[in-house]
Amino acid sequence: MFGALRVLGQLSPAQRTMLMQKRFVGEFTPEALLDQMRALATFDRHGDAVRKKAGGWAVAAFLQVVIGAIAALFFGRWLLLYSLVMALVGVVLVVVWYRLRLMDISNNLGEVALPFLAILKQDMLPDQTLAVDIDLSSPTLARKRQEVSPAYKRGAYTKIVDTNYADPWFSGSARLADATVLRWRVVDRIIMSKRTKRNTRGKYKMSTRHAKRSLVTVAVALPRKSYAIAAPERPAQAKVAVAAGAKSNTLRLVRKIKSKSLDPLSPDVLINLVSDAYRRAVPVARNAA
Amino acid sequence: MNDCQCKSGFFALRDCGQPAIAQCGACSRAMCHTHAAVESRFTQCRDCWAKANQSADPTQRAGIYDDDWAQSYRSRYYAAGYAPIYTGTHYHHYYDQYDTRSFRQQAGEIEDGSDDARAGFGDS
Repeated sequence: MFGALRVLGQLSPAQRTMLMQKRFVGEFTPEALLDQMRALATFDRHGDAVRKKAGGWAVAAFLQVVIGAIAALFFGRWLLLYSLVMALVGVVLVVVWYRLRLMDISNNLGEVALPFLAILKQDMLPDQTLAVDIDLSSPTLARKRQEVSPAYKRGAYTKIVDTNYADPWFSGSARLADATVLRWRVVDRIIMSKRTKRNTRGKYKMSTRHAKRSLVTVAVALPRKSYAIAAPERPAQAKVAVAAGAKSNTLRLVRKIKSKSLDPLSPDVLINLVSDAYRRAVPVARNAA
Repeated sequence: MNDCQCKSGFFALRDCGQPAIAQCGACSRAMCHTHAAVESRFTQCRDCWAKANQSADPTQRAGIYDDDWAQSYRSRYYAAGYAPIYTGTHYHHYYDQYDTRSFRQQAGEIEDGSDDARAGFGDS
């Protein structure tokens, strides 16, 4: 718990504001951006660990309150003091849990955006800037809700309600050291399915399932004076479109990733899309007369 | 001492351009402060350090995502089959193993300390 508080104390006011607003927007140099993101991701990791423990300890503390109260009936009223202390401990733990929950951000920051941008930094000059817009809020917030299906039945389920969410959580652009301009966008489409069924003993049981489809789009504008476009050495896993421009050729790569959980996407998906674009690039002869 | 002979970049490699501060104990390339692996106490370049420590627990640096992690990831990524484009002006045979795709250059431009034009360079 103290680790999380220590990390929280080290955050700047701007970083605390980002935590509360759950949005990371701006134009930064790669090093400045990664420093800020590392601090937030570290706090989130500590916060997640403490939140899990605080929840468990709070339940244990309130159980002790009940046990102390029952024991007081048999062994004396002084045990009520024990119950009171445990109640106070429980309340403190609930407050800690609640405050950390308010500051909880999506693991997409630390597990997808941070590694991807750490790789992108390698291809940027220290004084170049990149623009990012990262939504760190939960993907199943009411404002991200798109559609709620009417209740229907299927198989053993007596009632199913599907809710669709759209979460465009990560986008940005950067000019790389070789003058290539890179743009990316990740949109998660989530179906939350609340299902009710009746078991053999006649009790109704509810369960919630998630299905996620991530649409990852990368546009790589390769400068014509440096690169030509060739047929790929191997078929790309993504849909690819090439647009020829006056100064650059833009490759647009789109990939859909399906998942049955809300776990973060692998950063390799983004990295592979950019490398798929570069695989098609052929360096133009520098010494051509 | 000469300029750093290590290459920056991931998708496309480029010359580092920083003044060298030491020589890598493994590959003998001149390396700058940025390209010297801190964990090796500046005795090895980040490329060699990353390769030597590839078998180490990958989760050890999880969550940090610093330049050492990026170098280690780059080493694994290239070993898995990605041939980076090289956009610099002086080449070192160290990158032959990555089958670097590069601009066509004349043999005289190769600064690898030998007269041989190595395979993997200029073959795209």
